[in-house]
Amino acid sequence: MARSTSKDAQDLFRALWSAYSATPTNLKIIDLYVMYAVFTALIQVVYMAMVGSFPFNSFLSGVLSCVGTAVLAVCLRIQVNKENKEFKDLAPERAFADFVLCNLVLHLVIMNFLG
Amino acid sequence: MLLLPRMSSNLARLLLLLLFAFSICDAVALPGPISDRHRSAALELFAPQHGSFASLEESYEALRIFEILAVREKPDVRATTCPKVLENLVSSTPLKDLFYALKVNGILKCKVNGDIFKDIASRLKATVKDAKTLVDLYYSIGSLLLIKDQASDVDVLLADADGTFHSIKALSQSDGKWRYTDKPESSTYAAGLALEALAGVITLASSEIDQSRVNLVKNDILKLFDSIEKYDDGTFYFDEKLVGGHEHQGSISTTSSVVRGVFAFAAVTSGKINLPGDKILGLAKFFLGIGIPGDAKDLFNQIESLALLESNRISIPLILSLPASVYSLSNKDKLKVRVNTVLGSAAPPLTVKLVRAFSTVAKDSAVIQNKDLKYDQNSGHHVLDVLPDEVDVGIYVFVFEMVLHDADGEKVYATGGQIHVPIYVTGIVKVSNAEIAVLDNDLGSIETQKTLDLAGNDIVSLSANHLQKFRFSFQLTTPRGHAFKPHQAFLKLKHETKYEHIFVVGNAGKKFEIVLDFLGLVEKFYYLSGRYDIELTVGDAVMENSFLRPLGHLELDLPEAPTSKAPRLPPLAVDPYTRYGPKAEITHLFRTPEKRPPTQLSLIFLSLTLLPLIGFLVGLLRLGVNLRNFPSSAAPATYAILFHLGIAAVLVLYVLFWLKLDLFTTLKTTALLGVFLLFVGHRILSHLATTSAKLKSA
Amino acid sequence: MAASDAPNGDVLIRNAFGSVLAFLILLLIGVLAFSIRLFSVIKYESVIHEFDPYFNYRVTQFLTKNGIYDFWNWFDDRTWYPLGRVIGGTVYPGLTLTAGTLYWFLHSLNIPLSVETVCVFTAPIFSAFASWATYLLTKEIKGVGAGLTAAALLAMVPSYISRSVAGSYDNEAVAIFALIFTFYLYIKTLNTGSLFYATLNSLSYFYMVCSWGGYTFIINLIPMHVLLCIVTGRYSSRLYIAYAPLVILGTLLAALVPVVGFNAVMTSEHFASFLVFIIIHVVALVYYIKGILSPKMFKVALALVVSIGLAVCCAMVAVIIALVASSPTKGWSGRSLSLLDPTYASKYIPIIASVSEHQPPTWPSYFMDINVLAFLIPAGIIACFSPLSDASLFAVLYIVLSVYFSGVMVRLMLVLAPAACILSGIALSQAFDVFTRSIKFQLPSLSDHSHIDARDASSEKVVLDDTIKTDKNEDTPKERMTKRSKKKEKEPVEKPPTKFQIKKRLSVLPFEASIIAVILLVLLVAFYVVHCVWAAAEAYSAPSIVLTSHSNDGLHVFDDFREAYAWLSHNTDVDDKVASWWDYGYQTTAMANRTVIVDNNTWNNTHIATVGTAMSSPEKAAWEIFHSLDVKYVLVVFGGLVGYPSDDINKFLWMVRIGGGVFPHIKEPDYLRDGQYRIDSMATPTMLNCLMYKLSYYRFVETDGKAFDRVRRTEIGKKYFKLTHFEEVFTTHHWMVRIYKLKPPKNRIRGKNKKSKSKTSSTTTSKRKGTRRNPF
Repeated sequence: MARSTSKDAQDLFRALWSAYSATPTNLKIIDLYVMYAVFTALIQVVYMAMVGSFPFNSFLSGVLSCVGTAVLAVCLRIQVNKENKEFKDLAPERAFADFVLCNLVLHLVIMNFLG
Repeated sequence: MLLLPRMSSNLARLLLLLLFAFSICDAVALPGPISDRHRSAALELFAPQHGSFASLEESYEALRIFEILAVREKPDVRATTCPKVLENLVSSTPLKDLFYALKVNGILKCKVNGDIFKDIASRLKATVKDAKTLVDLYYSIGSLLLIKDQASDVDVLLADADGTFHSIKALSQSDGKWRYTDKPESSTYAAGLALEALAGVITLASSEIDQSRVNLVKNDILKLFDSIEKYDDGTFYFDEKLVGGHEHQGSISTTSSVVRGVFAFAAVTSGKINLPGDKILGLAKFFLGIGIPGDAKDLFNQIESLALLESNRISIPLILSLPASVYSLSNKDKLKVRVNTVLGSAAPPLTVKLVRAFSTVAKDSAVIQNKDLKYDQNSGHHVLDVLPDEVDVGIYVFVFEMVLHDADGEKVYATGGQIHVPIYVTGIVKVSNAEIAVLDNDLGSIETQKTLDLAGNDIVSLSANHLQKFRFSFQLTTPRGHAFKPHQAFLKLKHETKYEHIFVVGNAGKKFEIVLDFLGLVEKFYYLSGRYDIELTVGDAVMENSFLRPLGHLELDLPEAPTSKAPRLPPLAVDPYTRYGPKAEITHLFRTPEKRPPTQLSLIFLSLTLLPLIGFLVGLLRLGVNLRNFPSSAAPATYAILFHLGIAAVLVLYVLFWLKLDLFTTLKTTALLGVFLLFVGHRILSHLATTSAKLKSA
Repeated sequence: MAASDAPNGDVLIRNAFGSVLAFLILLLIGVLAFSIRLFSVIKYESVIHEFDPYFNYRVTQFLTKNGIYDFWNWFDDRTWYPLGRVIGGTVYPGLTLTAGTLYWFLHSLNIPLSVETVCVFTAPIFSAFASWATYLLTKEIKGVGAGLTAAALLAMVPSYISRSVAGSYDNEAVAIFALIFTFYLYIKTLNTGSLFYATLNSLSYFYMVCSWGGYTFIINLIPMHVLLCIVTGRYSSRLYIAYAPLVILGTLLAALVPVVGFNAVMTSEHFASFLVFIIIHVVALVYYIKGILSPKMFKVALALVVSIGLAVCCAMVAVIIALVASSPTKGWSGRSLSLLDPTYASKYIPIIASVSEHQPPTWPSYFMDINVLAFLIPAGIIACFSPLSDASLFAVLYIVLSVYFSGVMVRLMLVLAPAACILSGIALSQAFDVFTRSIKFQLPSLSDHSHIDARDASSEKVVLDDTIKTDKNEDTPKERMTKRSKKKEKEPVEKPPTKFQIKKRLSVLPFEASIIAVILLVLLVAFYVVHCVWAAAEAYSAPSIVLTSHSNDGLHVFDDFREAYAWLSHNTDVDDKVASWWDYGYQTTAMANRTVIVDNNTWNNTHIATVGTAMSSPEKAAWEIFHSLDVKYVLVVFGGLVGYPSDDINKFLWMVRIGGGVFPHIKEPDYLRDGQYRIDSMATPTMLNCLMYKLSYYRFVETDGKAFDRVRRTEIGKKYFKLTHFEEVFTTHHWMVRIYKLKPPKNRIRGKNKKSKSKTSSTTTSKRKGTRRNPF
């Protein structure tokens, strides 16, 4: 049983990998970007866990800026994804413009909150 | 047996107050005449700011005082004051300034040419004619007088002296007071001014003033003196009853104004104003009793009035003063008495006679009767060389009397009859056979008894329980061998825990004894067992060897406090003197600073945060990112570059916002950049969209 | 679809015409919303109402005078003496900033309106905006027709009017607009799935947070909706786009508001959103993987992913539980606890319970506030269920939650009102739609067909569910409707493809029936309108500082409050302290500009309890309390002469309770004669001797011979008494406000002086001898 599950897991991951490698490059870039943001956030969380969250607003803005960027990037990815039927009529350029706007607003707030 | 826990200080204060009270109530220490202390005070109070005084009035007062007191090292203000005087010596200056300018000039003798005096004089006369208010009359007449002294050639005589005299007299009241204007409120101060003015009128009169009017004024003066106020130490003074109307004058200025007026008037009128000498003396006492006033004005009034009293035509007060009012029997002091005038110059030849002396406790039994004091030429003192044996330690009242050698001196001088002076005769009181004992309660049998020499410092240590008694006794005898009862004879028991109990040691004859029955005191002692320090206080004003000494300690064991009514310990009384001492320093509570990580750790994590970025870049390379999609043609390319530049600019702006800008400037700038971004972004993105669409279609 | 339906040109023209018409109607609705709220200004005058508005007014004045930065760190020393209050950090700045910007804008246009005018008219303006926002929201849910109807309904719904008449310058005035607009943007984002709207959404959420504490309603409602969508398998990537950015940006923005600050991440009112945030990510991942995997593989993956996801979820839940447990008061502030447990406040927090608008409402108040909408709501719900879109699901959720909350607190009726309007708007528009169509079908003519098609084109969303509602809406009683809906709901789902034919046949109603139904509906709406106008004119437009009463000899105006405040501002020293019950704190600081001890922002229970204790203790003790607070004047409100019911004597029991809550020596039973509160001769001695009684009834007997209290309808218990530590300094014309001054201390310690004299007579005698002595 355990072997079967592990085997399943293996070819599941193989299948996942093959499926993923099929995705176009620009989506991969976005994924990479998301990864980058998420890891940065994680590092900050670790730091907080180690030394405590004294300048709480700084910590919050740091983590949230990373998470926010990641979330926005995910949104962008969803929108520009060709397979995604829901956004046929939405041009990727428009999506990118929204993405930029959203980021600018987000970081204005971050900067204000950074203290 | 009176028991006062923890009230020693209050009790002492109370007793001192009582002593004070009854010592003053039958005789008062006499103030001495003017001394050098006044001179130094004058120099302090009248210190010119950078070379000159604030006003002419003040500079007059200063100069006058320096003159009277013959102060040597007086500041030289001539150079600075004379110009002021000159600029004020114009006929248009207000009367008051003119008046004081002239007064200053009278002292400083500035160079003023006569014509100035002439037209001032003419103007003054005009004002005198039609002046209604007393103050105007006072100033103008005073000024005229001064001109008269300073410029002999100017004609200052009043043509219509009678009229002026009358107009001033018209302001007088029936009670000798005067009115400033025709308004009804009358004032003693005004009376002084009026009298001075009247005196001036008389001197300035071209023709003799009608004598009857002068006598009327004399009666006014007598009436005025009927309204004189009196302190019970024989000092007389005038006080301003009414408040309001004009500015209220204090008793000093009022009195001195009256003195000025009366003596000025007395100086110019023929015939004597028969004022009782003791009142004049009382006035002198009043001014001397002030001591050294802190206020320049008061000092001036005091000194000038004293100067007037020193040489007046009515009667010159003689001041009898004692250099010391305490005489120690132990070092055979002599009783010394000085007699001076108010300013301290020597008195005419006279004998001081000690009418009698009596103790304050036994008023009617005189210890000394009629003795003359010897006059000691070189010291200028009248001395009573030895005190008779009847004089024991204690407080006495000596009654002196001055007898002038030449009989008619009585009319010139005011000696003030019999003078009561309190004298403290002190001496060493012998403390003898003191013994301290602990005895059993029931049959007073002595358990432990110790005799101790209170003069020396030997210490006893006793122990007792609550069933026993504590007895302490000693004797006090005066040098003359009589019994002596001090004001303070306290026994203090002080527990380790600072709770102290004070007992008054009662006396029977010479023997002082106190018996503490601990059984009755258990309550009062709050059931506190343990070591009590014993302290004895014997003190009196006339006792030269007052002492406060520890007698040792007493180990007292008291029963446990019954749980039912355990008296909770009252708070310890704070020492009343610490109340005025520095308070405990306030320690402010600050928020404890949050713990911050060590910097290198933070730096490490900073570098760690860079790792994902590097990973990101590496990943990009792995994916083989390229800029093929970047527009090749010119216009879109520029737009694209501008677009990215714009975004960069906004981000930089945010950094600036974080560093120094404030929100609103940032928002404004962001809006501008936003418009720009919108434009270029729209261009480039639409271009991209069209190209991609073309690709699809193709 | 319109094109496919009727491919001729005039359809487009009709659409254009329709939109212009819609625009005009909206304009009119705006005017209506604005003008229906002007009754108070017309009937009374242009004044600020009630209590809190006066504080907002004062803050606005400060803002316009000193600028935003001073306002931001303004420490107000005029109130809560001696503590003071940090206004900038404890106030919801939205309203103030709005009015301030309005003021600056007008002045930059050289329109010199006074601050007060701007404040008075802020609420009506924003209610117009609110109705437009309602239009947008409902349009997103159910198309234009419903939108217009809902907007019209909201423009005059009484419960909203009650909070936004001209002059009631309170947070809710702008908050409701912000609320609806936020929901609109959320739905919009949900429908379009564009990040742009998501940004706007978070921004308007920010405005809401600035404006009102009720923003927690949003931050809890939206996650619930998201969760509901996920559970009902309606997850879409649009949902993700609508929600995830909102949480991040919204949280950050909320944390920017000083009042909220770190509460935005610390207190548990917000935790729901974070939880859902995590869940939606998991779900998104699942869907993504499902998308890229073959179904068979997905079966395998599902096992793993779901298990992992569950594990993660459990971990998160654990974390959150831990956070809740750790955070102060279990993360629930008193007010929100009283939301969940209606009886909480009255049990534990007398301060909250003492406010009338925190009490649960009564049934009449529902009818009073949302009138016929209460009956239309269920119909609206049904309309939402056919077909069920994300938006309509949201509407349903909204109404359910708001109904619950409004059941907890009266003031949350305000949240219910928009929901009610939206749903009833939907219901009405649907009903009219059906009837008009069926009527048209009856009329035999060719030209009408094009009409029908036009209407189909214009409202093609609506078309689908007409089938059900055809025979349903002619009678409003709801249980029947619901029953039938149960029956009928299935059909449309079964046969969507042939819906047009079905519609053609099914939607035909008997002509008369539909006519009657339309008439009935029109009557219903007419009744609603009449009720609303009445409510606006009579019930809700009275500013509580000026009172009027109609009696047989005409109209009486009681302007005592302003009389009293004017007296204070003219006859007392600038920094005298005035003590009164906290209701009058804001007005005193704003109108009389005097320092008060407590005011309506009840942030310090102990301080209020101190005042309550003073009011309910005997005169001497009260004097000592007040003197220790450095109070100079005491102000009481007394309605006994003119029969003004909400006076201090009626509020007195609350003072006793609040005081007793902190100072146990004040016991409520002492003031009650066997359980009932009375001030007549049967009253307890404690009651008759307490300060409030004395200050209220001092010299009252002199008005009419027998001291008859018109509010309590009795003669008072103790008629003739004197005040020893207080003196009456001012009483207004109708005795409604009475101001007393504390007598200075020396008057009362003379007795002590005497004693001390006699004690230390010996010293003083010697002193007396000394008095005639030479002082030098």
